Amino acid sequence: MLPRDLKPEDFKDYPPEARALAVEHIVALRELPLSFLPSLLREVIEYDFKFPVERAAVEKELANLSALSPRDLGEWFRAFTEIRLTQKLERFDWVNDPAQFVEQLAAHLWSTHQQDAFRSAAIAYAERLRAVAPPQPPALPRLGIAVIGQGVSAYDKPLFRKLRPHGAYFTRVDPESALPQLLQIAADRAKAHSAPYAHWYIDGGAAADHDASLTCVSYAALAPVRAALYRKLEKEIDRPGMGPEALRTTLARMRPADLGLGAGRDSEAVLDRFQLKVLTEGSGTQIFSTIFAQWAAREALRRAQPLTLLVRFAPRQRQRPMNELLSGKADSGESDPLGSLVDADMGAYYNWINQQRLPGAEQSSFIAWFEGHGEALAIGPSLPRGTMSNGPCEMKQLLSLAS
Amino acid sequence: MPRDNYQTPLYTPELSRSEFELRQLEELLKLSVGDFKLHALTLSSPDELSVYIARRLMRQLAPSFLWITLHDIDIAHAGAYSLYIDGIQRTDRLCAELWKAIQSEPEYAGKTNLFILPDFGRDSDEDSAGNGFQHHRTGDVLSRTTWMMALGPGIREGVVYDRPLDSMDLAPTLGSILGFSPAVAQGHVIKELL
Repeated sequence: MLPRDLKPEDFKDYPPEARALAVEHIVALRELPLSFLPSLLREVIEYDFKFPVERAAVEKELANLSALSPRDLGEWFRAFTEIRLTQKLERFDWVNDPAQFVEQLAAHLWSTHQQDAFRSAAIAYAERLRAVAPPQPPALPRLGIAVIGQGVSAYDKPLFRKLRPHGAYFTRVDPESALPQLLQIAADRAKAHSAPYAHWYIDGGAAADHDASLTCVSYAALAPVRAALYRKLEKEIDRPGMGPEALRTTLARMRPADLGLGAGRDSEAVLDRFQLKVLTEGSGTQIFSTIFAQWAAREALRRAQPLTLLVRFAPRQRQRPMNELLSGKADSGESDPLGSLVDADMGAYYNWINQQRLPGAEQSSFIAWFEGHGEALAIGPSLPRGTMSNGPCEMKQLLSLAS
Repeated sequence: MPRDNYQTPLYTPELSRSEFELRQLEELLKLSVGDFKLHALTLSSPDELSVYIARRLMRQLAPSFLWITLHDIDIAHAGAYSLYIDGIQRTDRLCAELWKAIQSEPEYAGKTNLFILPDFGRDSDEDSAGNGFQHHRTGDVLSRTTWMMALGPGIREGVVYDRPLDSMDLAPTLGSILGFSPAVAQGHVIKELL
């Protein structure tokens, strides 16, 4: 099937709000090239479970496409139209399985040397879209916090090396009550600027006491979900003919209820879906708490675009053979606090980069702190870059300096 | 964007433990299964075992062509930076050990080339479609660009060639060096290595 053949009933298996949205814009969808449309439908099909910022972005994109004249549409999508596809791709059920189509399209682009052409077309489209529907600035400057090194009593190598050129490095921050202070400032911001999914606390271990106004995701709280996932994986891997791609497809089709998420909590359907995706789409998030924290933060920033994000890394388990890690006894192993500190140091850098991709980046602030110690790094619009301070300092002062 | 088959940590087939395969291994390596298992337990990673087997094969069979795939670095796809660094350092050491082994075996010393190349590039930190060091899935040039090191007779030492080559060029180049014609291989002979 080609996009021009689309009929409203083709979307009958979409969730209700996604179906209504697709049908509302079906005239525009019919005009789009097959090399592009499934990527858009991959977003539309998830509309019912998206965060408010994402929903607004999908609505804006579809409204823009519907408003374009046939001539403009031709110009916007000329490069995509020139991508050569196969009949096999045309026959694929791209309406109901757009994510799978996009994976197969990627393989096709790679094998036919059309990767560069597709990438250029995608970048040009994103730039055009940004120009006509610019992202909204945040309601208040964003604050990102990364707490690293939990459980490490001493570390003599330099920390925050990749972040230091962008901010001020402090060596004598008072560690006493620093974590409660960070959680308090996050809660204060959540109360002063309340909005759904705007203020997050992600913990790679068990969440510390925090205010209910924060959206909280933690590795420890998801232990039963991870256990259910290991059991399913074990069963799937044993099936004849199962390979990495087939397994990825199986994971992509999982629903929160398949892993025991969301029982009797309709109000948390969006967050349940987010957590499911972190565990089924992230690489390594199922077995290492450090990448769980970093990937959950990356996805929260990309998707929910929070105003406040506090991420606390925790020690991950030691490396063992992968089958053992996925055996269902994954968390019974010894932890690796030093390795986890190195993971988290890099993770903090990525958290900052991902925060800087969002609107209002020039006004945003970022704090990285070595938990239980005096070392911290602060980045903010008024803080000098590449500097160091050896003076004593409270975490509250640091927050105030950075913002 | 493109995904390779190694990046998922969610599928690692169990090593076959069939009696037949163990006996084959025993015959090939001239090493009892018991001794092999005992030695394997002293090693810290699958790549250590691969290189151990390679060295054993070199000594027992002296093959004229040996392909070794090292996978420890693929732990990057599980997102643990410290383990990725460990993997890089271990691979670097194992490559050096292989080269030393080549120089110490009379069947190989002075008449063997070694080619070392990563299978992919790496996503850049700045690419929004990637996640730092973790993958090579963004499809940008960096994720598809890598390097190759060539050592041995006929290859000039300490020289860097920076003209673009394709990894597909390796097969016809090996064909030229070893005297076979890779009829189905695409790519071009790398003339700097002949």
